[in-house]
Amino acid sequence: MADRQLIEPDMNFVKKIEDFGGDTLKKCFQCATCSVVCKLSPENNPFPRKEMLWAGWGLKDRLVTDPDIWLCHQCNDCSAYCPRGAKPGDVLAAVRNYSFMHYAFPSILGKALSDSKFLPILLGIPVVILLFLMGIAGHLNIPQGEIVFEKFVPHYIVDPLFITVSILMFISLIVGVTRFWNGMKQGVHPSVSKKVPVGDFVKLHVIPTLVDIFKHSKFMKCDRNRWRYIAHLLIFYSFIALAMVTGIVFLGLYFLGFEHMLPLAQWNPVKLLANAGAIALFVGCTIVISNRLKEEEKKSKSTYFDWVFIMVVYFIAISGILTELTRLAHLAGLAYSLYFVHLVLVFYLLAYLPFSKFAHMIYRTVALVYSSYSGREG
Amino acid sequence: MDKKIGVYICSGCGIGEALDIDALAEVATSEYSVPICKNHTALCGKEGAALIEGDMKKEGVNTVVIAACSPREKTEVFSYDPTTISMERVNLREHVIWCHPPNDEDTQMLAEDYMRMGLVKAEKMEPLEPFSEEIDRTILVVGGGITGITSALDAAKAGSDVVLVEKKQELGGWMAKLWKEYPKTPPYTDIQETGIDSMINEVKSNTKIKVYTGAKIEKTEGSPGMFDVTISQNGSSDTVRVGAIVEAAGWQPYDATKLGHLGFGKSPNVVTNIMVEEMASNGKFARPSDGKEAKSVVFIQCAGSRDKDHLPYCSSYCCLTSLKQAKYIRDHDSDAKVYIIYKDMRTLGQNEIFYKKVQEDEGIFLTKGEVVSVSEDPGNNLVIDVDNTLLGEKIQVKAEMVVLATGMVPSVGIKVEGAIVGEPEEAAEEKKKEDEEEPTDIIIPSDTLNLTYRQGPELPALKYGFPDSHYICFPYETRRTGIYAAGCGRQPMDSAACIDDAAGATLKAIQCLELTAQGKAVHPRSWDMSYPDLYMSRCTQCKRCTEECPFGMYNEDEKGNPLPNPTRCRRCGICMGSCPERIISFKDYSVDIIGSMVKAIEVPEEDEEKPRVVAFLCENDAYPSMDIVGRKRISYNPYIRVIPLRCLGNVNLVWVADALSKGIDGILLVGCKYGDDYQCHYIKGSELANYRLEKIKETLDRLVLESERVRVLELSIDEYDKLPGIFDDFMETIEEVGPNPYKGF
Repeated sequence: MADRQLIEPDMNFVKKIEDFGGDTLKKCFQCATCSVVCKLSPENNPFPRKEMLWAGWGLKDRLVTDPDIWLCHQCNDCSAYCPRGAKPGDVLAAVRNYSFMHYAFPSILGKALSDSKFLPILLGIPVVILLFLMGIAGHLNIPQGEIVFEKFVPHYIVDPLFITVSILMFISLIVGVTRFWNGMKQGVHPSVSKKVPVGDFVKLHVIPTLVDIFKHSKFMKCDRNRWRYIAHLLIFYSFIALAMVTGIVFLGLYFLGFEHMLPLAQWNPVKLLANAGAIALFVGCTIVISNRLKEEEKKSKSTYFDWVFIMVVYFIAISGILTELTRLAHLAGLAYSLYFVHLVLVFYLLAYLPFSKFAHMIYRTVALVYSSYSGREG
Repeated sequence: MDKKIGVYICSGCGIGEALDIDALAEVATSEYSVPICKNHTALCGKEGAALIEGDMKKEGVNTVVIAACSPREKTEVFSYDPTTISMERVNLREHVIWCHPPNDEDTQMLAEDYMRMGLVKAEKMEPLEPFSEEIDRTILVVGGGITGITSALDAAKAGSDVVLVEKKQELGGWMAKLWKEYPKTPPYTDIQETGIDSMINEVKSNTKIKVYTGAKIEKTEGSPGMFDVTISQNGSSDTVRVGAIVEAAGWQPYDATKLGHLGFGKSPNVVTNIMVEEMASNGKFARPSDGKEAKSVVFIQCAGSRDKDHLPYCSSYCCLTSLKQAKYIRDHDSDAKVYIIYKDMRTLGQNEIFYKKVQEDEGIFLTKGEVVSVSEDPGNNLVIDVDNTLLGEKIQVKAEMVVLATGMVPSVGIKVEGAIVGEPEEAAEEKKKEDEEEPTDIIIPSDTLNLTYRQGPELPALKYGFPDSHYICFPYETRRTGIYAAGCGRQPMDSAACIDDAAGATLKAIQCLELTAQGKAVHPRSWDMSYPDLYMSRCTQCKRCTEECPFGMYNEDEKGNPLPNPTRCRRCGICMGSCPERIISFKDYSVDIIGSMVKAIEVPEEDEEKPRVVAFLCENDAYPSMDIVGRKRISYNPYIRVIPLRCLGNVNLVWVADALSKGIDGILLVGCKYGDDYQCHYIKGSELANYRLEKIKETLDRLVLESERVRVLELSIDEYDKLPGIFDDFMETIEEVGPNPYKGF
C-alpha cells in the first residue's frame, strides 16, 4: 500500500505553532472558505485549507517543506472570512516563523531569536565587540572638532567587522536555503525530476519571480489591507536604496580612492538617495506598527518574533535619521552615541538575518522560484 | 326528537352580489320544504349569530344549514352543542363565488348543488351521543430511564397518579451507566454530571408514583381510560387500571459483534463507547489486552450506523459522546493522542459549542474519513486504514485502543427471540411486493406492552422498529390511541431531548384522558364526539374493519365479529370505507349520507354539454388547499362538485356506483401523500383508498365503463396551486372519454 501514508501527529509541533501566533489553528473545521477566498492560492491543491489541517494534526515535515506557506502574503482575507475564527493567515505566518527556526544554522541562534529572554545577549554581543575593538584602537572617547564618524569608529574597525559578519551570515543562509530547497523537492509538491539548464532556469523561473517581487504584484492582489502593501513597498525599496548607498560608499572608499568622501554633502545625489531611503523606511515602519497595533486590538496575534524584527528596523531608521540630524546640529555627544546605537542595531539586523523574520525575503524568493519551477503556479 | 331545519344564507363577502340568493333560498324552501330559510348580510356578526340562536330558542330549530364561508372559517361563531344541534355548512364563498364568474348560470348551478348536498346531509344527520364511561386517570410509564423518570415526575407534578414499570432492578437506565454527560446547560463547554441520582430519589420519594422495578408487563387489555395492565414482579402479579400509557422503553446499543470488519471481536483492544464509560468510571483507560493505559485512541464514528448493511440511520448522540470521551482521555492523560474519524460530525443543538471547545485540544485529531480496515500488529497495537480523509489521501494511523461509536436500536424494535432488527419490516415489504396485498403493519413482538389487541401485541413500527407515527405532524402519537412513545424508543436522541420528549408525551397522555373523559376523539379530530356504530345483524364477519383500522380499534370475538373499543377510535372512518356491507356509520357521517349527497347533485341532460364530476377531497390537506385556491381567487372548472371526507380511506365503493348510475361523468379522489414520507393523518387511509380503487377500476372495465372516469391523486397542502390544474386536466380527460352513458336513465 504505497499510496497510504502513515500519519503520526506531533503534538509539540502543534503547541509550537500555537506559541508562534497560530493559537487559533485548532478551530479549523475544514470548510475551505479560506482557499476559496484567497486570491493567491493556486487552483490545484490550494492553500491554506490543507496547511490548516496539517498544522492541526501536527504534521511538521509537510509544512516546513511546503512552498505554499510562502505563496501567502498574509492579506488575511482568509481570516476575515473564516466562519470558525481559525485565522489561517496568522497560522501560516506562525508556520513561516517556525520555518526560520527549523532551517536555522546553527540552530541555537534560531531558538535564541525567537525568545525574548535572549534579546539582551543578542544586543550585547555587538556592543561588546564594538567596544572591545574601539578600545584596542584607543577610540573610547568623544572626538573633538567637526563631527566625522570615522574619527569615532574608524573604517578599519567597522568594515572588516561587518564584512566578516556578512560572510558568516551568507554561509548560514546558504546552508538553510539549501536544506529548504532539498526539503521542498521531497515535500508535498515535488518538482519534475528532469534537468533544466541553468540559463533556462534563470530565464524561466528566477527572473519572472524577481520581477514579480519588484513589482509587488502578488501583494497587490490582497485588497483587504492596502496600507500593508504600501508599507511593504516603502520598506522594500528603502532597503534597496540604502543597500545601494552602502555599496556606492564602499566602492568609493576602497576602489575609487575617495578616502575622505564622508560625510557626503547634502546635495550629493547619493546622500539624497540615502535620505529618501531613510524617510521611506521610517514611514513604512510607522504604517506597519500602527496597523499592527490596530490588529492587536482585534486580537490578531503578533508575536515577539514579529515585533522584535519590525522594532529593530524602526529603530535603525530612527537612530540613522537622528544621527544625521544631531550631526548637522553639531551635537557631538549625542551624534556619536546615536551612531553607536545605529551600528549595534545594523549589526543585529545583518548578523541575525538568517534566523529572524528578515530571512523571509530569501525564503519567500526561493519558495516562489521553486513554485514556478515545479509548475505550481501554472 | 323531530328534526327542524333552519337554512341561513349569508349574503356578505360578495355572495349577495354574485349569486341569486332568492333562487338559492328557493332550492331549500321548494325542493326540500325547509320550514325556515333566512338570509343576512353578515351571518357571522352579532346580529346574524343572534338570528340563528333566536330561531333555535323560539322556533325549535335543531338542525342548521349555514350557507356562507368555508366550514374552516368562523368556527368560533358557528359553534353549537353537537348533542342537541346538528350543523352543516355550505361553502359558498371559497368554493363558489371567489373562483367563478358572478351572476353566471354555471356559478348559480354550482351554488344550488352545494345547497342541495348540504340539505340532504342535514336531513340525515343526527345529534351526537358521546361515548362516556368511567375512566381512570392514572398514567402508566413503561421504562425507568431518563425518559420514563422525567415522564413520571412530570405527570405527578401535573396531578396524575403514576405507575412506573422498569424491567431492571434499578431505575436510571443508561444514564446511570454514564460517568459524565456532555454539556446540557450553558455555556455548553464543559462535561457535566448526569444528575440522574437525584432524579431517581425524587421518583422514589414521590407518593403519587408507584414504582415497580425488576418487573414486566404480562398483559395490557382495554382501551384509553380503561387499560387493565398486569404487571409481574418477583413471581407475583398485580393488575392495575390506568388511563393512558407512556412507552419509554429505551434502547439497546447496536450489537458490536456484527462489526467484525472494524475489528470488534478480533482484537480485545477494539471496544465500544459503552465500555469507555465503564473505563472512565474506573478512572483508567486500560486496554483490555494487557491492562496498559492507552496512549493513543482512535474513535470510529458511525460504527454500524448510516450503513445499509447495519443501522441505516443516525443515532444523533454518538458524535458528541465520542467528543466527550476524547475529552475524558485527554483530561486523564495530557500525553495521550485521540483521533476521531467521522462520516459527518453531527452535534445537535447548542453542542456545536462543545465541539468547538474539544476541537481546540491539541491532542485531539479529527478527520472525516471512511475506515477501511482495523488490524492488529504483533505488538497488540491497532493499525487503522482510512480512505477519503480530509487530508485528501489514504492514511494509516496506529493506536493502542479503538473505540466504536455504536448507535441506538429501539428496545421495542428487538424481537424477543433474538431476531435481527429490521427483518420483520423487510419481510413485510417483500410480502407486500409479492402479493400486491394491502399495506401491512409491522408489529415486532418485543415483549414490552403485550397488548391484547387483535392486530398484535405491540405498537406498530413506522421505520426501523421505531413506533412513532409521524414525527413532524404528530409527535409522540403512536398508532395505538392512548399510548404515547417517548425518548430513544421513539427515535434516537440524547438525554436533553429525552427530557423534552418525556414532557411532550406526558402532556399527550393527559390530553388523551381529558378528551376521553369528555367523550371526544384525540388528535387529529380532537373535538369529535361521534364514534362508529355497527349494525351487527348484517355483519358477515369479513374482518376487513378489524384488519384495516390503522389504530387497532376493533378486537374480534372467536366468530370474527368486530368488537369496537370506542375510546381507541380516532373517528377517521376508514372502517366505514372498508365495510362491504356498509354497516358502519357515524351519526353525522355515513355511507348513506355521502351517497345521498352524491345523488343530490343535479345532472343536466347530455345535450346541455354540462358534464358533472364529483370530487372527494380529504379534509386534512386537499379541502383546505381548495380554500386557499378560493382565497387566491384562482378560477377553475365549474362542473366540479366537492364533497369533503374525513379521510380518503372513507371512500366506500358504493359511492362510485351511486355517482355513475346517477349519470355523473367522473369521480376524482384527492387525498394525502402516502408511502415512505406519508402525510395521511390516519397513516394509511389514502393508501388504502388507492388500493381499493384499483379494484374498482377492474369492475368498471367489466361494466364497459371507462376506468379513466375514476382518478385517485395525492396532494399536500403546499401544492394547493396544482389543484385547479388537476381539475382542468381531469375535465379534459372526461371530455375525451365522453358523457356517462348512464346519463338520463
